[in-house]
Amino acid sequence: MTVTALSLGAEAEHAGYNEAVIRKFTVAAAFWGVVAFLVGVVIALQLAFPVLNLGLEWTTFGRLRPVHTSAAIFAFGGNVLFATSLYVVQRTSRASLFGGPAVAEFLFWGYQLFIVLAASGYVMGITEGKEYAEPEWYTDLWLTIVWVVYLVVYLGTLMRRKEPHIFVANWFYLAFIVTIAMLHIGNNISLPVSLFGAKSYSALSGVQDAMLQWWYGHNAVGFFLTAGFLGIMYYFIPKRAGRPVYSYRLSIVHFWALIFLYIWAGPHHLLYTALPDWTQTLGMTFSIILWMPSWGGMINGLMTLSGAWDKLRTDPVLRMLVTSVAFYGMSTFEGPMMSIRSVNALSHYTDWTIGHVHSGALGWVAFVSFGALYHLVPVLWKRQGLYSLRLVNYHFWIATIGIVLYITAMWVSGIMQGLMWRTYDDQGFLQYSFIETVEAMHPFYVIRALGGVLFLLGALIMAYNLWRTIRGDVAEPARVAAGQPATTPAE
Amino acid sequence: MDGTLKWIASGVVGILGVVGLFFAANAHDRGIYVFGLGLAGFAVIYVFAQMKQGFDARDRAGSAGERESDVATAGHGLIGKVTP
Amino acid sequence: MAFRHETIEKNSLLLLVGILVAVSIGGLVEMVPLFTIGQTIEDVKGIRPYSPLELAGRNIYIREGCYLCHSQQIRTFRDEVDRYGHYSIAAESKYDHPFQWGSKRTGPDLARVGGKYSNDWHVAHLVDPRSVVPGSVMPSYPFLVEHTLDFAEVADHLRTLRTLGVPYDDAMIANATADLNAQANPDADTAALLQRYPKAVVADFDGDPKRLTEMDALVAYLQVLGTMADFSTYSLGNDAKK
Repeated sequence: MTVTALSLGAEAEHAGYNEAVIRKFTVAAAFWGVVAFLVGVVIALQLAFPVLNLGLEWTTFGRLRPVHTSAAIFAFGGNVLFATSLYVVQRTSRASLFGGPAVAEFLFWGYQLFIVLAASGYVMGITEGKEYAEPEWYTDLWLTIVWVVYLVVYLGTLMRRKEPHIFVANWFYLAFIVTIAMLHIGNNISLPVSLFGAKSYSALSGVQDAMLQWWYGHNAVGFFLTAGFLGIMYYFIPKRAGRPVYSYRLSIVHFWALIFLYIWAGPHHLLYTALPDWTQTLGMTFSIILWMPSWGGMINGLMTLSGAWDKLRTDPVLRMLVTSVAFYGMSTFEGPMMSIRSVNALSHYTDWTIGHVHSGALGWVAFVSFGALYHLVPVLWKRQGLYSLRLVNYHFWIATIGIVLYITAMWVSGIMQGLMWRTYDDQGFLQYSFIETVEAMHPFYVIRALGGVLFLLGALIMAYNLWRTIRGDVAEPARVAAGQPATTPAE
Repeated sequence: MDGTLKWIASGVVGILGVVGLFFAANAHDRGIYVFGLGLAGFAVIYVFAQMKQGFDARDRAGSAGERESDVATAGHGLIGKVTP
Repeated sequence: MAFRHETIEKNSLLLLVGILVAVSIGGLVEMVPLFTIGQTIEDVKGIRPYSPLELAGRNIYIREGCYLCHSQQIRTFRDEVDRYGHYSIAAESKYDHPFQWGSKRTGPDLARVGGKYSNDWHVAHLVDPRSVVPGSVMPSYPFLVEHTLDFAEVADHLRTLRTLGVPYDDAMIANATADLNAQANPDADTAALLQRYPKAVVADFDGDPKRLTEMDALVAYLQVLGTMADFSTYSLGNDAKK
């Protein structure tokens, strides 16, 4: 161990940061990421080759799809957010976690229990039938308990900070934690038929339930997958680049604008439905305005590289982080565009929506997570650096090609299907039967599955790299001797 | 402070575990049954883990001398869990 | 500037309150008026609560995640109305706890599938989609005919829904189990059932008169979709005048 690593370790121990729980969350994040991507590949293949549903009740697309979405959002994304938020709040507050190690352990194991309850439930057919809010009432209650503890730990740590200013990453993390609590409770109010039965009925119905669901659903994206991960961006990019955040003023403006505007965007999931026109128009308008604070965040993240652009050539971890911000910019332009009524008229119900989701989920959320994990593991296990930077490079390129295959396949299939549905022949009849449009999708389903396989392969390379790093192996000792970026300066 | 919280957390989780068993015993369907057993299992593992860590910490403190154990239990809230 | 952001940055509780205020506004503005504006749920005749068998079928629909590939919401476009029928109005799903409008059409929209295909077609299609639609990517559901319907607490389900505002009356709840069995048995006396649930489809759906199966329930549900609203007496103008 070098002096740097020793002093890092000594300082962390001296200050008493709880890093044990961060290590657990980090390993869990990598594990669940692989699970999520694997289930994604399985269901993608099922759409291309339906025989893979196996004719069994536990393995149908309908039961496995929520396993994939929950694993990607809550298991992978959630553990990444726990790991990074609890790491960042301690370091930027210079205080250890409020509640101590016992409460932190409860948080970790309690959250994993939530994941297992939800996923096992779906396979058994236990679901509330609302996207990204599928867990039934008792699992929802358990998550609420864990989440309240999370808020208390996070806020408590902030409140005992030694640094008077709250660093910008923490504004985003706090907004994420608080808003998810509000959304989760709001959308999951349901009445169980019996206290000892899994089945419950949602409090609202029809159009009101639809509005509630997409108030929740869009902001699961906006706060779980965006605000929280912007917190990651705001800490790990400046840290890795060795540069300050580009603009303080921009941080303030885009933070408040983002969290205020995002909430309104829900109705863009319900354009041309039975939701009243006035609500649809509000949703569309605010979704378009939302483009601006989103790009404000992108600009702040990218321009932080000012004076350090050369690091993109030598540091693949930083490259991954910066690429994630570029994908964030792309998705937050595509989203507002798809919220325009006339565009949505074509895109709604098609694969274009799926393509959009995955450009954000893979390009932004997953890449910024990978960057954070690659940065964190050497620090947390007190290693000089990652086992192999070359493997990070392979991961980056293989995953990027996978993403490009995925989204282009979905753009083509989505737009094609939307156009086919509305095509009339010259006698004024619909040209295509529905099944004809399904058959036209097949090659794109295959390409999409291939994109997913590449993305999974990249994640497996990452898991291997992280595992070797944890074990203390180094693949490229010459690199270390030459002084290439390994860990970053103290703290 | 951390020590007290450890006892409180273990107590609460223990109660939750018993509640879980109650749910499992009265379950009308598999979902609640799995939930109840899962909660009970979680509680058992959690409480045992807290006990193990408590004894491990005391062993380490014992072998390292009086001063360390004072610091470890002083509870300023700044001493987190130290694991190699 | 009298107010400085620094004030919020140095006070975590102020930051928390500021966040809560900022994120509460949009939801309130978009949701509250959906309860206070009368025209949100249109004034159309015919919408009724699901019969016990239809409700059981709906629960199976939700359980299997059908909404993930099938929407139940026809938009106000000429090509959709040509393909699926009258565009969906809010009143049609007012008793749907939860709503199942869906957000993806891997398969066709089902909002008005009721009455379009025979019971036999539905059973054949659900057991093996590719036997009736060769290019289909839908999973097979052969186990639906194997599973006997487990809906012993059907009355409790109706009671729960009544608490949530669905107008099940005492007669409906008292006769829940009887209605459940009667709807799948054409030889039974179904007059009372049909009086409680007009336009309910009564048939031996799965072709096996001796057993009440999950297939019976699911097909009963599919056959009622989109059939309730009486569009002969409804017009958009009525709501606009209110």
